[in-house]
Amino acid sequence: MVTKVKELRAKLGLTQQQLADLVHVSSRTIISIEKGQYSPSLMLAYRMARVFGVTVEELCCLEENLEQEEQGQSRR
Amino acid sequence: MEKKTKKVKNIQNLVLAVLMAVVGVAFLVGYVWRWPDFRLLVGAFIVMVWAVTDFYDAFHKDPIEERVSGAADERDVYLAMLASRWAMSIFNKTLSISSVVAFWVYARFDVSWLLPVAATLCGVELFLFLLLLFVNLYYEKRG
Repeated sequence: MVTKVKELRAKLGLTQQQLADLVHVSSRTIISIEKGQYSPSLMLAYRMARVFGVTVEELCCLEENLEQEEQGQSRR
Repeated sequence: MEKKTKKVKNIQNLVLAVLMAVVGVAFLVGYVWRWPDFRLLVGAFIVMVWAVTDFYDAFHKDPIEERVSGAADERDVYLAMLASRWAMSIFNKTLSISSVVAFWVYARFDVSWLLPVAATLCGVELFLFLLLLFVNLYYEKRG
């Protein structure tokens, strides 16, 4: 899942470790989310969205991800 | 004078300790019955040590899930689930292939000791299948 975590984190000037401490996860989890290797749970996404001052939909690019998923399914 | 009673921190360990103690006693009875079968005495010693360790852990250590929850976040739990799923899958495939190969070698080359080996492997696989089925049903009902 593509997210805007890296972009928003850079805007706030936070390191990965600082963001991880704010949302109570490890920095490895933040790294995996930023690389698109791991999809955050709803609660984690909500905690991050609160830190960044955005909605969960904006943070997780839900519209774009849904479109990509639907395109992938229609190709099959 | 107040009597201090220790609280059980881990019920799983306590149950295991009781089971091991029972098995240990069974080994000791077997040793006396089949005097002097030294293997039974060794077995009793090993199992009793295990029981004592589990009794200690039951009263002094929290369950592993609680100990780990402080250090592990959601991604760690997810990776652990993924890893155990893959390990189970590889284990199942290894069991299947081994039992088929054992049956074939027994049939082809008449290696008699392979028959109980193959039958045991099949038995373990059947047990694992039934276990997975019941655990699946349990979680389906729980939602």
